[in-house]
Amino acid sequence: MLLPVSASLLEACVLAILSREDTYGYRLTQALTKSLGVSESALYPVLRRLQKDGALTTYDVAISGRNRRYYRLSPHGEQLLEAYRAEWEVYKQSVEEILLRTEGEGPAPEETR
Amino acid sequence: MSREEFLRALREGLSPLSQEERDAAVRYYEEFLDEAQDEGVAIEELGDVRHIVERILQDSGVVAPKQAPQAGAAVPAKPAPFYRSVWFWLCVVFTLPVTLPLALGLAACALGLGLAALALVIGLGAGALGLVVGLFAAVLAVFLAGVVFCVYSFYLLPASGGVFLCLFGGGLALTGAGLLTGLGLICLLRALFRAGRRRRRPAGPKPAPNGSKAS
Repeated sequence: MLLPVSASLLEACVLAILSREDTYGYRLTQALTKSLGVSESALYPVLRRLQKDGALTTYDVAISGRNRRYYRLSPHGEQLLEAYRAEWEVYKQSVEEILLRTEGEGPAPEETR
Repeated sequence: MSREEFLRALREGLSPLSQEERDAAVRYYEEFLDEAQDEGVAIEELGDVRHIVERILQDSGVVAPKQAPQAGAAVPAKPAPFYRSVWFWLCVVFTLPVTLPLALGLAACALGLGLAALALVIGLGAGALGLVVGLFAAVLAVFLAGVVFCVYSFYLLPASGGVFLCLFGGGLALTGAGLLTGLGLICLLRALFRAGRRRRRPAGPKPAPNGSKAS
């Protein structure tokens, strides 16, 4: 990938995925490595840190004779995600103003959403 | 690399971490390999174990990140202490004609003062010892004089009963006084000695000022 994903951005994406549904490490890795191009080894430190910070909790589900550890967003994690989303809006706008502008003058192109 | 090899390498690599942290990471990757449809492919996809270990160690602050710190966050290198610089040693060499006699003079002064203090201590000790010995000698003299008087009085008994009684009584008084003052002196010295020891003891085994802390 031309634009590497930083650790905090990866953290934000993990929080976002977990805000939609609880999931486990392997699936989380699949979801993130395919689309963002982060390495498989990048996810565990992020998960561990979020867990230590109390942003997510874990629970084990028995599945075919072993345990699968699910991650769930905590209220603190939800707050963190909201902060990341707000930050992302500002960041995106700043970058787009520079990166996507084609004219020399005038305001930045209107966002189409 | 087999599953066992991978997990063993992971565990060994994470040995600087606490047992809890190590177990958590190993458990995560165990589960990861359990979930993968093809374990061999998954191990391959995970890449170099050393890289995984490095990431985890960096994240837990055990190992400093490899990439150079950002310019803004760069910590200015601490300047080497002055005494290690060339300038310091140059100064030392060129001021030697002045500093050397000065240092020698100071050293001589210090030595003289130390010797004087030592002499004072020795003198005081000798004086105290002399005082004690003198006192004992005096007491012994009084005691012996009493004994001599008592013995001598018997020679004078045939001549005069009054002189005998006088001398004998005086001799006994002297002997008694010598014994009593001698005992009193011994008691006094013991008391002084004990008081001295007691005063020193509460201070206890004081740690030497530059003892174990010196590097």
